[in-house]
Amino acid sequence: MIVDYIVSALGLGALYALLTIGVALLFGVLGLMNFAYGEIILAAAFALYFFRDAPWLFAVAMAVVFAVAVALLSERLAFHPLRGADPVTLMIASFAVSLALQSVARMTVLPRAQGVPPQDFLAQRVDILGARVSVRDLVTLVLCGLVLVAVAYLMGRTSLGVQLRAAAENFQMAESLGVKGNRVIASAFVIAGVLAAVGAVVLVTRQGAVSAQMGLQPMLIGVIGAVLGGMSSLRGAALGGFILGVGTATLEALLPSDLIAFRDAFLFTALIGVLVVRPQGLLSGSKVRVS
Amino acid sequence: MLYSVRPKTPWKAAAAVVATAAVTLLAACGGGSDDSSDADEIVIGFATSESGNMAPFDVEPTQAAMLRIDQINEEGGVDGKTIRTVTRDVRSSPETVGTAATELIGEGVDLLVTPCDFDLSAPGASVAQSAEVPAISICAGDPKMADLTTLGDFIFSANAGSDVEGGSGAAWAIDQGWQSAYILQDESIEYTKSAGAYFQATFEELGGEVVGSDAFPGGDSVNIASQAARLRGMSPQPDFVYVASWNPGGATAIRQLREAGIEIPILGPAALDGQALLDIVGNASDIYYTGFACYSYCTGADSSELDDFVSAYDEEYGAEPSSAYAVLGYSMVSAIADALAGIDDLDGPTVRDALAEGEAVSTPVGEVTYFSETCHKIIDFPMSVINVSDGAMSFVTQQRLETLPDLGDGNACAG
Repeated sequence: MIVDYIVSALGLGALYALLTIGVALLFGVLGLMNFAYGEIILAAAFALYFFRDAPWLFAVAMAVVFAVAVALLSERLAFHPLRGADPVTLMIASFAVSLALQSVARMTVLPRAQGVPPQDFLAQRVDILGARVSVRDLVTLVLCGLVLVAVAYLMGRTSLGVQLRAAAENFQMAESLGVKGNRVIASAFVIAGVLAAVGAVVLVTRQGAVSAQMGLQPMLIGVIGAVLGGMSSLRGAALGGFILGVGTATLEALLPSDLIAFRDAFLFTALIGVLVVRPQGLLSGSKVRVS
Repeated sequence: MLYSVRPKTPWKAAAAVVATAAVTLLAACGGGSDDSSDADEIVIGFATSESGNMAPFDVEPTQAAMLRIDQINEEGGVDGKTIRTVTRDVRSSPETVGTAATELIGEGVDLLVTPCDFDLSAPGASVAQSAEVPAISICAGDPKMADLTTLGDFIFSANAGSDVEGGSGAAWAIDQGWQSAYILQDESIEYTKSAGAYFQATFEELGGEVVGSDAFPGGDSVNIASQAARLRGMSPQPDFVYVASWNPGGATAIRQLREAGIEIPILGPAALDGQALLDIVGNASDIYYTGFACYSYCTGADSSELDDFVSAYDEEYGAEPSSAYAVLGYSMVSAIADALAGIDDLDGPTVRDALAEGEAVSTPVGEVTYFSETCHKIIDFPMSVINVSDGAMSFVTQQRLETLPDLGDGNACAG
């Protein structure tokens, strides 16, 4: 029971951290609060549904392709022309992109929820310290953990990471020092797309269903986690998402069944409490970048 | 829901208010005898959704209803009166339902058909109630649709309701010799809550024992890992678990129960019906739900009436119905035609009283008593118990519920 709980809480925490980073990255580099993030997840999820009869790894690869394509297209068509615009304008534009993509999905391929059959190997259970832990929970934990480590490495140890961080710190200064703005922004969208795709893979294997509005909740989790952890720091955002995930799993485990329906009310009350004490988020630096 | 909120323009709201007021005034002045329809026809207005998020629930029942109307007209109509239909797409929007109802009543319909959902039907139903024109929801499942006080005495629902679904499930479980139940309650909508509550009350009334219950928030994102762990920790395991939920979240919950290693039978209400359930649970077995009918994607009902319905539907629309809600629309028209046979005067109160007379109607799933004076929905609907095993659905049996237990929640159909 305890091992079960730990694996599922850590898995949910890692998943939420992943979603949060995707949101925080674009906010850091572009000042863009991307509400269309949910539809990038939807694109990946749709790929998993569309290729549900193909080998699983192929479907996962296609999910990454779909998500990255939608992320890059949205950048090219909607956010690129608004480069340098006010963050509020960008945010409203992202709402428009989100609604447009969702409506297109609803009108064409997903008028109603569709099922994605489970993978047999993910439905297995293995013995760990005397507990029967599901392979799906383990895969979630390992996959999200690996991606988090990869992002940390990319941001910390590679030239692209340095450029991304420089662009997040001061975009104009970075550009005048030779950082190629377009390339950095495109890579930020690619990374966000990959993160969204991994998130979608975990969500779809857990839910078994794909629907036009499925991106809404993960997008909100990303935004809320980023606010909790501190919008200006990726590490903070990841921590925020992780706490949100572990908190959700803990409340599910501890709340009496009469109160489970109000799980999110408890969670967000705690969140408000944290923000009253630290309005800049848990790990935010001294300087909060707003635009 | 942050941005799936439907746009509410002040125009629409204002139009609905003005229109409602106009109709109310009309009804008050003219005594509701808006009799523009010819005596040799019955006019039914359909204010249902052809687009939007409710379309999956409205389109097929409406098409099936049109099919039945065509059949009745070809057979000579109702006592020689042909049925004429007027339709409005309400686009899954509550504001549009009110406006559409006002327009249709203005055009002199004798009867209004509203969408397959309580919340969506309510604005249309209140317009119909003030104009004293009977309104029937094509398949709303909430019991509040059927009492005479919430929306009024001119309002009906051509469905059994989640209370009957929960109760029938309990009666069938008792027939299987299952004595101990566990309830996993989806807290997201009224439908799931009343299915769970009436399941529990009926099961206990029939001598079963509910040995435990748990809840989850439901919705699009379902994760019941901790609920499943608690159920798995129970010793001894209950005879079965009742999952009071709807698709796709309910199917996800069932999948996660099986993945968590819970092997006991699973039972649920009709909103789990459809191809999505099969896709989501994959090869899981020992899953049952109380549906409206078993056809197309479900085998073993061996009913020539159902086969006739499905092939007529297929012939008319080029595809078989994708959910069992379709048969409810078809049967609703039979009920209306039966009730209006032998009635010359089609004014509102007469039509309402005729509908409420409560005679058995022959439908593709068997004889069904639609409405009574106190209960404006179906109680004795023969729910089809359907088994899901290894990626296929098959018919088990039909289960009727004779009476609903009284939970003291004002359900006019209980007792």
